[in-house]
Amino acid sequence: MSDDVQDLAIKAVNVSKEYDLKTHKVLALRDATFEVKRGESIAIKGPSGSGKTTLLTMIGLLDSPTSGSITIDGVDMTQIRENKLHEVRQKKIGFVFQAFNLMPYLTAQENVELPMELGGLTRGQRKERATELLGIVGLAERVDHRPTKLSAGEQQRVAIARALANGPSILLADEPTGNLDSKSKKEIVKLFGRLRREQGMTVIIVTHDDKVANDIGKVIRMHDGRLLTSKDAEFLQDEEE
Amino acid sequence: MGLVNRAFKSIWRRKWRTGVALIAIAIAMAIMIAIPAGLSSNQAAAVSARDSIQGSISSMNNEIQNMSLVVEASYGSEGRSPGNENFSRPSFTSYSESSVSTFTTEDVSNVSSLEGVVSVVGYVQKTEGMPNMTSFQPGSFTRGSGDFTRSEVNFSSVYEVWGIPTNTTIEGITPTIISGRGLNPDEEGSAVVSQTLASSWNLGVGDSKTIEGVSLTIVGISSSSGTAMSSRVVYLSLAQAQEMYSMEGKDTNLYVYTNSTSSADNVSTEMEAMFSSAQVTTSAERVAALSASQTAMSNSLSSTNATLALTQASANQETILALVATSGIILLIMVFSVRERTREIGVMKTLGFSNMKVVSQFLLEGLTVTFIGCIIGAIVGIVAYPAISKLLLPPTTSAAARGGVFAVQTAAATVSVSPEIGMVLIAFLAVLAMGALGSIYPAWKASRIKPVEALRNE
Repeated sequence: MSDDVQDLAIKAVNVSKEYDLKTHKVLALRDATFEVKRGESIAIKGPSGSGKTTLLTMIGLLDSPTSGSITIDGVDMTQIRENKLHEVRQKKIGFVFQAFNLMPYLTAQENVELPMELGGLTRGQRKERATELLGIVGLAERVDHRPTKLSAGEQQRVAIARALANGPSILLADEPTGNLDSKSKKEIVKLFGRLRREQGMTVIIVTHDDKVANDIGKVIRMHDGRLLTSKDAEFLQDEEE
Repeated sequence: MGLVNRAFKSIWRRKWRTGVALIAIAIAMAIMIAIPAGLSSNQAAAVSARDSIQGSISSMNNEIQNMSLVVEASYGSEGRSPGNENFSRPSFTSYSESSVSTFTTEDVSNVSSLEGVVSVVGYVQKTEGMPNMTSFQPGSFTRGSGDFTRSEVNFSSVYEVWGIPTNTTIEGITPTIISGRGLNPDEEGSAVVSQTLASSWNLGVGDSKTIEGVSLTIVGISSSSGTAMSSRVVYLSLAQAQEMYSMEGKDTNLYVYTNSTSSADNVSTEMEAMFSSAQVTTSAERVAALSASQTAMSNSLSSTNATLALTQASANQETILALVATSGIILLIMVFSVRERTREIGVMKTLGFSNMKVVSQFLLEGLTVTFIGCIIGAIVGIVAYPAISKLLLPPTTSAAARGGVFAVQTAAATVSVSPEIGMVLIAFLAVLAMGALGSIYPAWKASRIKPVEALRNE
């Protein structure tokens, strides 16, 4: 672990999450401890139900851990009141979903402008920035199209542009290539690499796709709610083989 | 892309649901406008009915005061007296001319000499234009029940000729002139005609009318009041009438003023003895007749007041029902809408929207739909309020009519009150408030969901 706290974008210590399903309890995440440096690009990989999406939602402040702490840019998020977390989500975190989750009644540009309403930009500034971001993701010609008129790959690029709207330092993506064809997959992975290199963003991607995970860079493996060490990973891989 | 613009786009996307919400809100708004307007109309009608009845009761009270000192005796068209002209016309057989006797100068002199008599005024009353009576069955005119039983005989041509003393005013007999002039004492060849009769004859001041072979010039028109029969009168000077009917110095009716109520009773008893074939109407009888009609009118008044209260109660219930239904419908639609859009709420929260911002979004959408619905409803309410209020409120007019006051029924039917701008504004604000309440709760509830839970929603 790094001693230089200033250099850390995310630090998770003993993060656990237990879901109460009335009939029984499910421990979805067990004592996850890890660090992500600024500008680092990480893929969280594991089979379905391994807890990788749960971990991502904890980092993205979409849910709170049952125990443990998550620190973002040196601030312990578990100490911040629920009604203040939206500010952190707005300013520091961009989230990309497998299902895109675009507003179907808004155009590509309006979808990208949506989070900017919270950033105090004027209407003109919002429009300008949305156009710029859609240009970055390669959709300069498709700004006025509604999601239903865009391909799956294009929709995901609009979703990425939306995630970048308020200039977050952390980009979280949950199976961003899960609904895409192989060509679109490559383009999206390339886009994440470019964002990390050109904008210095910290990128964390959840995927169960080996190719995507390897292309992203550093890989954290999960199994049964635990983060695996290198030795665990090798052992499991041998067992699978 | 602002909040309002997004709200419009979101509303427009769900056309079917928005349409249903708009219709529900518009109906509620229209009801809220139409009911008070209809209520005002009914109130105006009821107040008009009440005033009319109270006016009648008050004038009856005056008559009762005046009449207590008067005795009237009549041959022929009996029952014609200031107090009971409308209420007791016992039988049409009395119109038979063959049996009519008269009061002579000697009779007048005898009555004048009775104790307690102050003065005696004689006048002539005759009926003209009677139809063939062979098919007629005697019936009754009773205004209290609102029922005319005229059998098959058409009385529309019937009118009365009154020869009246013109040097004195007799309440209920001396005509009230509304155009032209009154008759001079002993004036010949001239007549005053009641307005209703003049209209039915299509004659005016200056025109001529021949009655019993005598050509008469109409010099004045008098106001008509009371029932159809007593409003169809030709007034002549007493001398002219006596001459026309060849009864010089004779009268068909005597109007006797006495100095006290007890004198009036004594005089009427004595007159009954003196003129056994004449109808002598005692003050007590007439007061009783008036009291009976007063009771009928009081009942009518109670009925009108009761209807008014009933209308008010119905209106209150319907207004509250409309408001509750509106908020219920908006609440249902919003709950449905919010549940359907839970995932959207999750996305908004992931993007950094606060709970307040999420609530604002849904509240604005709810209010926008409510606002548009209110405008549609206001237009419908203002244009169609008579039909809507007629449909929803109990009729005031029929209750008044049951009381038997025809004039009131007519008045009520023609009274109509337009919706006031104040009422429209109140309805607008009330429905808008219901829209806000219906929107805010589900939105607030949804905004409390954790983003991750909202995103799991399919």
